[in-house]
Amino acid sequence: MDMTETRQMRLKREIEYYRRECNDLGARLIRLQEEQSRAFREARRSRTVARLIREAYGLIDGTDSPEALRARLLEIVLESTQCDRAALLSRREGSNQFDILHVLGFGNDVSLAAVSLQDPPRFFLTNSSTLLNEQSHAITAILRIPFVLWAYDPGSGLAMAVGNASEANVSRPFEPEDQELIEGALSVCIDVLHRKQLEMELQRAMVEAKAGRDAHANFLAGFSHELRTPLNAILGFSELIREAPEGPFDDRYREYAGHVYDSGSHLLQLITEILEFASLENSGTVPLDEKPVDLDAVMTSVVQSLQSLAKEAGVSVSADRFARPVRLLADQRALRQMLTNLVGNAIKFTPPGGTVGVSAALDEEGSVAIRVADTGIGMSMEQIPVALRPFGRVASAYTSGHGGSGLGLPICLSLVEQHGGRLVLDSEPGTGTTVSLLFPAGRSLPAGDAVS
Amino acid sequence: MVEIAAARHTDSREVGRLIGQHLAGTVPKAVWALAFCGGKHDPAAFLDGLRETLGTLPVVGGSAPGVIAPPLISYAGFEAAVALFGEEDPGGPILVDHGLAEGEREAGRRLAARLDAGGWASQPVLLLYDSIACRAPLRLHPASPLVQGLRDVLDRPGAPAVIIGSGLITDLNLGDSWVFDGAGVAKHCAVAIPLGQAFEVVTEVMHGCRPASSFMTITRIEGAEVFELDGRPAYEVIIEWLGGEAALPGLSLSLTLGAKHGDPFAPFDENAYVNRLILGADRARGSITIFEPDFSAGEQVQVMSRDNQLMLDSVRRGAAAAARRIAEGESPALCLYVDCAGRASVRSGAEREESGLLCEILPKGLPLFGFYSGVEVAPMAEGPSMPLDWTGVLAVVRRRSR
Repeated sequence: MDMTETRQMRLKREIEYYRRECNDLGARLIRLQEEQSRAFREARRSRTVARLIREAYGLIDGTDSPEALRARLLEIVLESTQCDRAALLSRREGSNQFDILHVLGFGNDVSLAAVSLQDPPRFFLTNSSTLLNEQSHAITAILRIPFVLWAYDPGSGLAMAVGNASEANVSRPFEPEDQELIEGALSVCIDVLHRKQLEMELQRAMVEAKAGRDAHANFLAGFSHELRTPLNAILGFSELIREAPEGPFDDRYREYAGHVYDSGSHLLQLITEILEFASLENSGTVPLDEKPVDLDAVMTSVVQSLQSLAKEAGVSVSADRFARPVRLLADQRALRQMLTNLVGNAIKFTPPGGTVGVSAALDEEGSVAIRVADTGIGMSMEQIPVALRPFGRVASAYTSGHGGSGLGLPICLSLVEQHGGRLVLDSEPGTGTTVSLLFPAGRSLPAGDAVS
Repeated sequence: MVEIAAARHTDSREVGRLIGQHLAGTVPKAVWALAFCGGKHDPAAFLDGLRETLGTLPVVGGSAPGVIAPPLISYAGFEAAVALFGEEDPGGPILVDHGLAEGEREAGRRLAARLDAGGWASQPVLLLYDSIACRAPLRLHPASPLVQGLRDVLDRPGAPAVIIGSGLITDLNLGDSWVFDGAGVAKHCAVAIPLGQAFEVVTEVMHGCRPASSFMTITRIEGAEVFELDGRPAYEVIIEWLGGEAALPGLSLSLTLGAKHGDPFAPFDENAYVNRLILGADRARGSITIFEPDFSAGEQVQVMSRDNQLMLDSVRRGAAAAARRIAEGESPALCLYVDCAGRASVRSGAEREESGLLCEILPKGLPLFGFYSGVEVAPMAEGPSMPLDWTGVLAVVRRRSR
C-alpha cells in the first residue's frame, strides 16, 4: 500500500471517528435538553400549591363571589399543571352523589350532571397503565378525558379533578408522586373557599347588626315619644282630677277621666305589642294552640270590637260573610290578633268617609285568603318594606298624629308565617291598601264543629 | 394605526366582551379585525362577546395556545388578543377557501387565482389555516402543499410571493384547531388577506436549532413519512443514534430533522436550514413522520437539537435587527409575531420566555401583536416563502418608502 492510500485510509478512519463522536455528543445533548425541559415542567408543576397559597389571600379580597373564586383557583391549577381540564366537586351529605361546583377547559358552556361514586377514594389517578374498572370509569367520566388526577377530602366533602386528553408532549403520564400536588391544591381551595364563606357570613352579620342597631335607634327615637305622650296625659289629667276642689263630679272631670282611660289603654296596647314582638324575636315562635276556628265568627267579632274606634275616625268597617261556613285550623288568639292589628291599622290610615272591608275567600285547592282592604292614604313601593320592618313607621302628614309601635304588621307577618302562610301587601298612594293573609290548603277544614 | 387589545378570562364570552369594550371607539372606521383566542375557549361565544361592541365587523384569525400582546404574554388557554384595522391600515379583501379537506395544494391555487384575478398578486399576503385535520388519529393539514399552491400562481421570476402566516392550533399538545373566516368559526379552511399595495413586509426569522448529528440521506420517503435513512429503517436509525428507546420515551415533537441548503460544509448559519419537527414514530412500520411532506428522497438531513441558548441569542439578534430597520424606515403599521408554540418555555425548558425577550428589545409603543402557532410561514432569506418549524417570525408591516 503506498503513502497516498495509507493517508486516504487514515483520513477515512479519522472522518469516521469524528462522525461517531459527533453523533454521540449530539445524542447526549438531545437527551440532556429533554431532561432539562422535563425538569423545568416538573418545577413549574410543583410550584402549583405554592402559587395557590401565594395568591389565595389576594383572591379572597379581590373576588366578589365564591363562584368567581372557584373559577380563579381552577385557572391557577390548570395553568401551573398545563392540564386540559379541571373540576371542583362537592359531596351531598349522606349520599354518594357529587355535585359539580365548577369546571374549566370544556370550551363551551357545559352543564354537568351530578356524579355518583361508591366509596370515593381520597386519591386516584389514571394513566395508560391503569386497568379499567367501575371506579376509573366513573372518575374519568367527570372530565370526559382518559387521564385524570383526583383528590377528595371527606371532612369538607370537596373533591378536585384535573386531567389531560393525551399523555404526550407537555402532558406526561400522571404518577403516584402527583398525590402531593392534587391534595395540596385541594387543601388550599378548601381553606380559601372556607375563608371566603366566613367573610361573607361576617359581612351579613355586620349588616344585620347595623340594621338592628338602626332599628333600635329608631325605636328609641320614636317610641319614647309614644310612651311619654299617654303617660303625660295620664299624669296630667289625673292631677287635675286630684286637685279638683270639693264639689259635684261634673262633665269636665268625666272628660278628664276619659282621657286617662284612653291613654292608659293606648299605653297598654303599646306595651302588649312590644312584649309580643320581643317574645317572637327571642323564641322565634310562640306556641300555637291550633284548633278548628270559625272564620266568619272571628272576622265578625273583630269588626264589632273595633266599631267604636271606626266611628270615632269616621270610617265604615264591615265584614263579608261566607256563603257557607269556613273553618280554619289555626290559633284563634293569634288569628284575632292579626285581624285586630290589620283592621286597626286600616281604620287609623283611612280618612273620614272611607271604608274598611274584611273578606275571606277559599280557592279550588282549598287555600284560604283573608283580606283587609281600605280606601286609605296608601303607601308607595318604597314605603312597603318600611312598614313591614319592626319599629318601621311610614311617615306622612296624615300619620304624624297617629302614634303606634310600628310592630303591628311585623307581628302579623310572624304569626301568619308560623301557620305556614304568607302576608301580601298591595298598596297605592291615594287609593288604599289591601293586606292579605294567605293560609295553605291544608289548613282549611270541612264545615263542622269549630271554635268561635 | 392598528389598535390592539388583549385579555384573559375563563369565560369565553366575557373575554371577548372585555376586549371589545377596550377597542370600542379606538378606530374611527374599523374595517376588519385579526383575533386569536386560547384553545380552552368556546370560539363562537368569544366572537359573540366581541361582537357586542364591534358589531358585524369581519373577524379573521383563529385558535392559538397563547397570545403575545404586551403586557400580556400567556399560554394558559384562556387568553385572547385582537388587532383592529381601519381604512388606512393594512388589509384588503378577505379571501376564504373551505376546501382544505379536499386537497391543500388545490386550495392554495384557488386562493392564489382569486388574488391574481383581483389584482392583488404582487401584494404581501397574510395566510392562516387550521393545522389539525383530524384529532384522533392525529392528521394534519400540511402547510407545504398549501403554500406551494399559492406559489404556483403567485411566484414570479425574481420576485417570489411574500406570504406570512400560520397553521393554527389550540394547544401545545396539538389537540385541535379552528379558524375565524370573517363570518364565524370554520374547520378545514384557509384565509388569505392581501395586505395592500402601499405596504411592504420585512421579516426576521429566528430559529434556534443546531445540528446534532452527521448527515444522513433520506433513501425512502412517502409524503411526510420517512421510511429509510441511509438505506435502513428510519425508526431504527434514530433510536440507535439516541442510544435506545429508553433514552427518549416519545419522539413526538421532541426531535427535528434539518435539511441544509447551500454548501453542506459551510460554517453553521441557522438561516441555511429548513427544519421539520418529527410528529410521530411508528415502530411497526419502521418510519418517522415529520410535520411537512416537502423532503424528498436523496435529500441529506441532520438531527437538529433545539438549543435554548441559541434560540435566545437568535431572538436578540433578530429583534435588534428589526429595531434598527424600524428606526431607519417608516413607522410600522403592525409588528406581527408568529411564534412556534414549542418555543414557549414550558415546552422548551428555556430559562425565560423568548417572546418576552423580543418584547423587551423592541422599542416600546410599537403595534406588537403575536400569538403561538403550530406552523410558521415566511420568506426564507428573501427567497421563496415556505413553512418553518420551531421558528419565531417577526413580520414588520409598514408603508413602502416613496
